[in-house]
Amino acid sequence: MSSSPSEVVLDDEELVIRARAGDLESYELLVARHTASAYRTAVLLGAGPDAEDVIQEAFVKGHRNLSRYRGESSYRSWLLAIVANETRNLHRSRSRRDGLVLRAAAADPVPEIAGDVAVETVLAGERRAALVRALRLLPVRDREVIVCRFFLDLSEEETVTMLGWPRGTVKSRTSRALAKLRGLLDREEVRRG
Amino acid sequence: MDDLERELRNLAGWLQTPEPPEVAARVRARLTAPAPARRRWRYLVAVLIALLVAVLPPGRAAIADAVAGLLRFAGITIATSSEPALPTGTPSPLPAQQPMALVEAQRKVLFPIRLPAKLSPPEQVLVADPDPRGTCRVATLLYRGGALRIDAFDGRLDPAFHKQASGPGVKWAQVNGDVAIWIGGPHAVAYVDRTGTVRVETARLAASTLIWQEAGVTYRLEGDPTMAEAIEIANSLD
Repeated sequence: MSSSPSEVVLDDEELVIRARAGDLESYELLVARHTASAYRTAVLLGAGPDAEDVIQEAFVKGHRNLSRYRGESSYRSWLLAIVANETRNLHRSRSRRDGLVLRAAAADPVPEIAGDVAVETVLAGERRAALVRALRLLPVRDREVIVCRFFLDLSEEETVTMLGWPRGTVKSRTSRALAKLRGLLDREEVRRG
Repeated sequence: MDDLERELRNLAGWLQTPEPPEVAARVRARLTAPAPARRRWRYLVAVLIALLVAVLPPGRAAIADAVAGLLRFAGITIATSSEPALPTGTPSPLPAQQPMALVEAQRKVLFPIRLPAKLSPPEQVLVADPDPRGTCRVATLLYRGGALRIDAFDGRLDPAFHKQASGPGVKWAQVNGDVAIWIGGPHAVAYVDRTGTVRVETARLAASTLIWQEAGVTYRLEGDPTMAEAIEIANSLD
């Protein structure tokens, strides 16, 4: 056993314990480790240009409340719950909600295709645009659960922690949101004929 | 999984998220800046002092009016009454209390166990009230054959001790420049468990006690020292 302590990669739980004991270094590591997923979460939940402020606030609050984190969920979903909450607070003070933005065509991962494939690509692109339009029309809570389950790929358990709803609510809200989404897409197809 | 669900998962890769910003340094800067919470806390203490002065004027007659006066301080509640309500019977120890080597005890609690430089190493270290994961709530250091004890717990959480003090023995004091409370004289103390219930069976007669808080951890030093001596020990926490 010659590995020095600095070579050991500490897991979140260990960092939390150290941070709670007052070690800011450990907390900074946690912040760095979770910045990307916290940021993506805030953006997808509609924080828009305020996403950076939202996660900064979430990390500061998270530190203050660290003593309340009991480890019954992963640190990540516990933190994302704070991010979701901060984003909701933001919505209360701001009527516009943005966030679901499709990548620009230039960033299209399948460039330069000809013929039938190109047509399919265009159709797929249109379908995605239609999906995003439909998602924007969903009520906030429906969108939240869709973002958690399908965009952030959180498990049902993690979604329970993150949104702070009972498990049954997560289940029923997910299927209701999907049904609404289907309805919106059908209507759009009819309109476009 | 149906088509729509698959489509949504697939859509995730097409949603644009800007590059995540670097926030770690700024978060740290905010955490090391003087905390506004602390200022609020000082303000609260000032209000408490004003209240206490108002409800506890010197003299026994006036103390009777303070029966309902419940003082909360750093995770300890102090009820003051004119009649000493002393516990009877043999008190049971704190829930699941057990002795342990200092290093081992440190692993059991989430706050740092600090030793006062004024005293030699503790004769015994105890931890109590573990949660399902084994994390204990209270650490106790025993000195002088148990005649002097220091309990430590995270005082930012729910109250952990309930005290029943009587008479004019409750005084404000200072430890390391911060507010502390001195209860000069025997009084009843009982443990308040995680659910907030006062564990009557733990009620015992406590000796004079100094209560103070540092870095969120609440300490209660109980035993034979005078107030000045207790403060000196408290000031010497490493």
